[in-house]
Amino acid sequence: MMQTLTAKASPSPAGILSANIRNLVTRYLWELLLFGLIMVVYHLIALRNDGFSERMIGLLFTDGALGSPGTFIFVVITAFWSFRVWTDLPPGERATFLIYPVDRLTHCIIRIMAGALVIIAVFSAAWIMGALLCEIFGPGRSWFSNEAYVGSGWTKSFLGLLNSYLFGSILALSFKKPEIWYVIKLPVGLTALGMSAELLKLHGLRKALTSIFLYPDGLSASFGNLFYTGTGSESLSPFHVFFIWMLILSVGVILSSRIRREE
Amino acid sequence: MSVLLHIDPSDTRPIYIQIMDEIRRALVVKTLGPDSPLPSVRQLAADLRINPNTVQQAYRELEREGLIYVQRGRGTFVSASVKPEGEKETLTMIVAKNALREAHRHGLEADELISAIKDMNSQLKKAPDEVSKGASE
Amino acid sequence: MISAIPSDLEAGNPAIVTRDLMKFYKKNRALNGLDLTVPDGAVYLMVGPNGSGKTTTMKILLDLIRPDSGHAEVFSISPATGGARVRAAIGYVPEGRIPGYEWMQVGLLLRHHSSYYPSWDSDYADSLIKNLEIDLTRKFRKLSKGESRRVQLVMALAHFPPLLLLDEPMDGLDPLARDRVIEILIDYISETSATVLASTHHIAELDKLADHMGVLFEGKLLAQNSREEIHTSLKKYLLQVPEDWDGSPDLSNAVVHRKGTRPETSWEIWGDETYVTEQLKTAGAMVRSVVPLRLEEAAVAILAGKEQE
Repeated sequence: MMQTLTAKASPSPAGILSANIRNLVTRYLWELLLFGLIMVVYHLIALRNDGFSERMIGLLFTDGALGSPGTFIFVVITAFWSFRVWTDLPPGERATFLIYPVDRLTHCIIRIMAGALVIIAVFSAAWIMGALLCEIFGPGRSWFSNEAYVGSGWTKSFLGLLNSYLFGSILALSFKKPEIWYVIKLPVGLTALGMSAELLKLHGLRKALTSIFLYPDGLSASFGNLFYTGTGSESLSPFHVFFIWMLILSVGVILSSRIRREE
Repeated sequence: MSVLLHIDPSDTRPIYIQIMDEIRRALVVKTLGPDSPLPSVRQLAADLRINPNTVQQAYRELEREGLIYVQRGRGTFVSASVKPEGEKETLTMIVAKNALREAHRHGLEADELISAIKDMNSQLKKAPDEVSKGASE
Repeated sequence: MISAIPSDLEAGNPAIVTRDLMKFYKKNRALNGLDLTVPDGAVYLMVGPNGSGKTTTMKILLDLIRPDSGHAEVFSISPATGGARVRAAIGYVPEGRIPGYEWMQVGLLLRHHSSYYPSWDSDYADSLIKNLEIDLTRKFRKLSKGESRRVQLVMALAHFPPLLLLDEPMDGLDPLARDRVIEILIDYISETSATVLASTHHIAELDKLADHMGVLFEGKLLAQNSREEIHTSLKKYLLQVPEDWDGSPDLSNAVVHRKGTRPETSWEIWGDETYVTEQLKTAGAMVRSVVPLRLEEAAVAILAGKEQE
């Protein structure tokens, strides 16, 4: 009796997406909560150190604000998260991923999308929480009416973070040898430590930790800057720059996920 | 029912033949009779831990020989017209063949075996318990 | 002596076909021209020493790895081009544990797995879970080898695939679990007429289930036959030979394996019984008995014979 394979055998992308989201949240729940907490705390500290000034809000959320440690930590977190999405397994060991009856490219994209949705949800929750806390403990200003907080600045930050996530995803998809992964995680870890040092006003320590791979004159010249303000082209608005980068990085993700097999 | 069927993987006969012979044996010793139900292919395969296709093959052969019939939706049964005596004959020949084969392996000729059987038979008549004791190899 | 055992199975629309499959790794040839044919509905045992290519073959069929040359087809679809469709039709139980599941609770793992297979039958999965005594609350990394294999079996069967690829299915299972698994497989085959390709060292365990056997050695099939063929054509001839016998009957290289020394020796020979007996008699040997071989004995004879070369 010859078996015929019907189209019914393909699972629905929506089902796989929700399964992957559920998996990521279940596995990394504490880490995600920690990310959110870090974001909230950094925001509050940065704001409080500057007396909850409009200027600081602007720095935190508008473009060119990479001098602020509060925003840069997000870049670091999302890059780190893009590896977590692949359960820290290099492409060669992803047999769990590879045995499923889904087209590999589709599966890759769905998995990356799941990671993006999760981290965006966490960020959104953190932002709202931060704004609420500012409302409660701040100098009485209504934070939600602040344009920088909920307006274009917020969106720009989001886009920047997505770009950093996509960039991290390309790295996660491209490197086979597990050793490479440790090399990539190292600057991420160092940057995180550097951020903590910055917040504790230990500028010297921050410089020491992060200047190995960043320009010595400060964080604003880090590669994360690229995703925020571009490479110096004055005719394009930052929004356009973000979207151009997003396009480039998305193509990069698709190319990187093209052939990922066990060996 | 199936607990009476014994399949020996070491036996020289293919498994489906063993099943057929076992059913014949059951007929001869009267644990199965005309119109008796037989276990389903699935049930027998599960009980004997063998491939269902093998059971299928055995049933098909028996059906071809007219020993059993299949009724859609109701199952498989022994034929109404089966004659245990005829099966006894077939079975006897099978036993004989196996015995002769075994004899030859031990370097015995057919008539040596036959006279040995006669001797052993008279011995055993004096001690009936010995018949069912002891195993084959 | 190279045996003349045929390696081609005639089968219209086989479930699996590979032609001249090659796979090289840095130091060795995992597959060196594999011509595998698994007929539809067959229970095919792949036997062979470690490293002979059994796992590699399965991984190629699943498109987990790509061959270096040759091609393969599962239900007439090439895994290289139709990987997703092929994998939807396969239930795979791998040899070890797949990395990446370790952190999951078994219940979550099965739920996750089921979202990838629309044909997943929860009732059947539940009955298997009960039958195999699987604890849904335990984490996968805490399971023993046998327990993890049982979970992987549920993952493979519960979506009713028409093809099962089982890599050492009995490995790590205690005798009771093995018996249960065989029972489950029999039930599954009865229900679905599925095709099964199993690689195993425990041939005796699966002997009664198998109706085909392929003997793999260094990436190639030494023999590939139906059980019927082996039973009919490969036999052990117990011979009594005179002291000075030179032992060379004209058997056209059909002798698979020889054992024992004079005066009693046993040869495993492939061929028509009558013809072979004649040849042996002509050569001066007395044929004491002719015994068909069980699958395990046949595999051992074929492999041992290869070593004797």
